[in-house]
Amino acid sequence: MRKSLILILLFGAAAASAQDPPCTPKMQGLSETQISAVLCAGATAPLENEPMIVAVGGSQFETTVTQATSTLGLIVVNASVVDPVRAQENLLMLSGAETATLNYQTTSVPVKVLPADPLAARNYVRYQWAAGPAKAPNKDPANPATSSKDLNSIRFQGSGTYARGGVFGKLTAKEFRLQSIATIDIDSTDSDTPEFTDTNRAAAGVHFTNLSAGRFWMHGNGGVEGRFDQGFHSGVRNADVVLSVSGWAPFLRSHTLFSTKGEFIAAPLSFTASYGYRNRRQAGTSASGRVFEGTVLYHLFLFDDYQVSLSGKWTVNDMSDRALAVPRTQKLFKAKIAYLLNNQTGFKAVASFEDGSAGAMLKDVRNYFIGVALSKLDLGGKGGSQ
Amino acid sequence: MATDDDNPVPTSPLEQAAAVGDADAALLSVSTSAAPDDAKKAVIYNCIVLTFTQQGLPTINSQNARIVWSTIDDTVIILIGNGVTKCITGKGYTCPALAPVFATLKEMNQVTVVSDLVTGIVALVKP
Repeated sequence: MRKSLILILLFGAAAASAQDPPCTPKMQGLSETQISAVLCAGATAPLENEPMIVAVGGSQFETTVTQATSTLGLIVVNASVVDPVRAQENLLMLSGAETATLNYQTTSVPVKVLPADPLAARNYVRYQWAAGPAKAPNKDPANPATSSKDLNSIRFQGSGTYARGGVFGKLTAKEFRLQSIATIDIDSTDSDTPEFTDTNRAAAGVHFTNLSAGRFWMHGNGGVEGRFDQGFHSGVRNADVVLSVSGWAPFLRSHTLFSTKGEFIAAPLSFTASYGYRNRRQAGTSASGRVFEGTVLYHLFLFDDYQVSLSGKWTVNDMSDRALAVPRTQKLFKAKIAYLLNNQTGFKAVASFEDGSAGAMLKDVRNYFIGVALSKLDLGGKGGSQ
Repeated sequence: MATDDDNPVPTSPLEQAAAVGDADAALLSVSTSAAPDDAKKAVIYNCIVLTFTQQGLPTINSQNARIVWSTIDDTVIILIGNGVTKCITGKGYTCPALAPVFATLKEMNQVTVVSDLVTGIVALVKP
């Protein structure tokens, strides 16, 4: 059994590592007179003391390359701005941009622009998805003939985020620290049986960012959110309006156990919590009342090369006219295991186990999942729509 | 029993000074000169430890520690990059913005040993 699990993990990791690791050139204007860029391995590096033009939108400014060094598998370029009179203007131009182009010698490289102040509200789009086979034990008492065999399905997980500064482009002044985010999360299968996960959500909200309370709460957000859950197979739907908070709890740090090579440094426990009003429709009847939802994510590292990410989601449906079929409390626990093939490719081969129910799911599920994930990340500039 | 091998004859002036009880000369005779990069590496390592702790990550207790970039939010990655750059610059060195480097290491899903990170940044920091 253990050998089979390791073989499956390694197969998944090999398939994933066959792809080239994604690498997007990036730049940042950290001061008025200096810009820094990172080019991927294999790119043509600019020559030191030669000019490099930075094109942003319909404008551009000239820099002189002061450094082009290969390190950490990347090419790091440092350049000084030639015209100091326009330096402040250049910095403002960069701070609102998502992309720019570096032109040097005969080379032209599109780059993503990282904000100098990441706490300012930003515009960005981000998505990721994964697909793979899923199994679940057949616990159907009405069909004992097949109870000894697992059920099979194809599982799809996907999420997308659309973020804009301010209130979706309004009230974008920096001092407000307001961020609007719309998200879609899908986790479902091609099977109608309730033994499989079927929790899907669309949400939109406005949050204050950069809230903190020392080591107890850091990188926090707090705001108001509207969300809509829909079970594709069950037909259940929830509509909520809630107050929400999220962030890190640094006093609950990640831990490494039984490692001989050194400790892993990773994010501490992160959490989200929300409380508000819910309207739930299920089997033709509707109920409404208060709802609490809380999620936590914690990373644990075992031996020299295993990452276990443990997450839990608790839902309390405190609805006055709640139907008997609607559970008052739902709990969903998940454990993801990743294997570190080597430091260059990082942790790969997602295998997961989850138990419980959440959102629009009608009953507890127990799923095993092995898949290969693909993802894409887009970082944007700060401020609102411009 | 002592032999001649246990008490070798001093050959250099420093060793001769040490042999007659000059403590400073004795220390000098057995020490090696510090490489210029050593001080720079110490500054960079301390700046990494300080910034990671300030941003809520576990304290780095060893250069063997391995940073799992993928678990860290993008905003925090940029804060760490800006913090390490500012810290190194504050010690009198010139350092490019490190946020694009750290963000790319995250994008590539890399795990970085702290000693490798220090060595990599040494190549970027002037003088």
